[in-house]
Amino acid sequence: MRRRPEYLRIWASVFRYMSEWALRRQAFIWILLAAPIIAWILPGQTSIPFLPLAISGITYCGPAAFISGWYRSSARSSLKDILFSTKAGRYSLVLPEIMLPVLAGVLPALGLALLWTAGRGGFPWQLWAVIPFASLTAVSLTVLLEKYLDQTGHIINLLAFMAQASAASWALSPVFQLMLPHGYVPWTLRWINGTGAAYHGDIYVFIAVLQGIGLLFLTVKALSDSEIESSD
Amino acid sequence: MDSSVHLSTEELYITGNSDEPLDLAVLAGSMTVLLGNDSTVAPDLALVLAGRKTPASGMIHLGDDNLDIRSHNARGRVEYVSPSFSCPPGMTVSGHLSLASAAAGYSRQDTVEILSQLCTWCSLEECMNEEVNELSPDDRYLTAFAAACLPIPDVFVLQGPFPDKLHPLLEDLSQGGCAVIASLPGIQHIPESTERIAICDSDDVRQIVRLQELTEACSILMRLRVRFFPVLPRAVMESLPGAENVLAFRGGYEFRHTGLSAAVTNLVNLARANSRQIVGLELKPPSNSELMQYFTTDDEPGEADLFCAEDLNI
Repeated sequence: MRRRPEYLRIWASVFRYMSEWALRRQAFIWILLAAPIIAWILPGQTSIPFLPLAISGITYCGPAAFISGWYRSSARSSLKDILFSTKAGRYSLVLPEIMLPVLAGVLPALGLALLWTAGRGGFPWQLWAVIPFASLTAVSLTVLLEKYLDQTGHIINLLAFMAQASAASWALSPVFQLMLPHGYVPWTLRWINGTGAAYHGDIYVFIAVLQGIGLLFLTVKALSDSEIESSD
Repeated sequence: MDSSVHLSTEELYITGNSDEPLDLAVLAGSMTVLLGNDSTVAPDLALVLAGRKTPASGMIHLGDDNLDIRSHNARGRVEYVSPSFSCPPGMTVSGHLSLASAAAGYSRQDTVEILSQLCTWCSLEECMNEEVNELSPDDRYLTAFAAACLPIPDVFVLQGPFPDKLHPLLEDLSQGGCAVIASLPGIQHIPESTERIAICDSDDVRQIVRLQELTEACSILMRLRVRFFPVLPRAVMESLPGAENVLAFRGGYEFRHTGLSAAVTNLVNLARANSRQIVGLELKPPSNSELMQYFTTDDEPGEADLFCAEDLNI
């Protein structure tokens, strides 16, 4: 008799070993904190209140801290060897390894967003929608840059975050606001605040969803590739 | 023994250099060894038969329903165990087996019971809470093997060498109807219950022999290395009854002898008669290339084509 795999238990295991791997790295805390600090010291940022900046930072840095370096790690390679050839299949690893970093970005960011919007008459759905897709984009970008550029990918990833943070400054063109990956959280925050955003909040949500789902397909394809070589 | 075919090949070329397609049928309850080191096709063939590598061309079918080995439905029916197996940092033996049992579809309740039985059978009870990456290579291999047992596969493919304590477990498996295929680098690793041995070179499987044939070949081809103190003159050594092809090396001699017990008795007598001590005696198994040469020469006696009959269309 063939049994159905116990996916929830597999996911719980992947969450556990991925978290243990991520939290053991010295880089974890630096990825989590360095980017918001850089964002804070960029020109024009000091005037932005702490909470919107933290929401923007965590949406990106939470996922990045968990997934950065994971793609080529020996821990992932071992889990891949264990799970890919089983009845549970490759998606039993791919889905939780995307979901964990996304949740690490979304849950604290939504918590902070609730705090920030509490005294402003409610929680706009645009912010609720844009945060998960921005986190998903952050995961996808980190994986794809690491796959195609290896170490160079991490540097470009940091630059991408800095560009996102700088998108929160007021001086950029409206076209730029729709071109920058995972920059829609700061723009949506600005739109809610009533200043600085060139478009209605729905536009940022639309682009974030489009980008998040589009990159997700590429990321799932990259993560389910069975021929990845680990680097550590 | 169940005579159904668990694995069969169709026009299988392992590498682009293979001369002819490999025709292999792995029966239920049988144990087959692919003999050859890393420079031969044996490790690659093991991966191909496990569905972990694509062959140069051809197909591998699973069971009577001719299921493609790489299809999703074949998962869990063929298990592969590698000696380079590792786990994520922090994963214990019980953690790894629990994950493997979840992937195999055991409920949490069933897992406790089945892991207890499995660990007793594999002698892993002592190390259930130890980290897999810190285990000895033998215990780590046994852990990988135990995890591979969980889906109850039809075919086991093992990349060797593996610990000797696995031999009785493999025998149990084949007696239970499972087909076992092991890629091993030398004859000293071959389990006693093996039925067929495929001798591989760098391009192909050259010969498939039975264990009895291999044992006979080894008794003919094995060489003994002996050291005496003080050193024995070569002429005396060459007078040893039954000794053939005597070669001198630093401090001793190497020779071929058809009977091991007779050789040892004669050596002891020779040493006593010449007031010498035997300070070293070593048995050297034949290399894979010697075996291959022996079997390929033996296989086609008298086929030397002195008259170029093929060219003359005779």
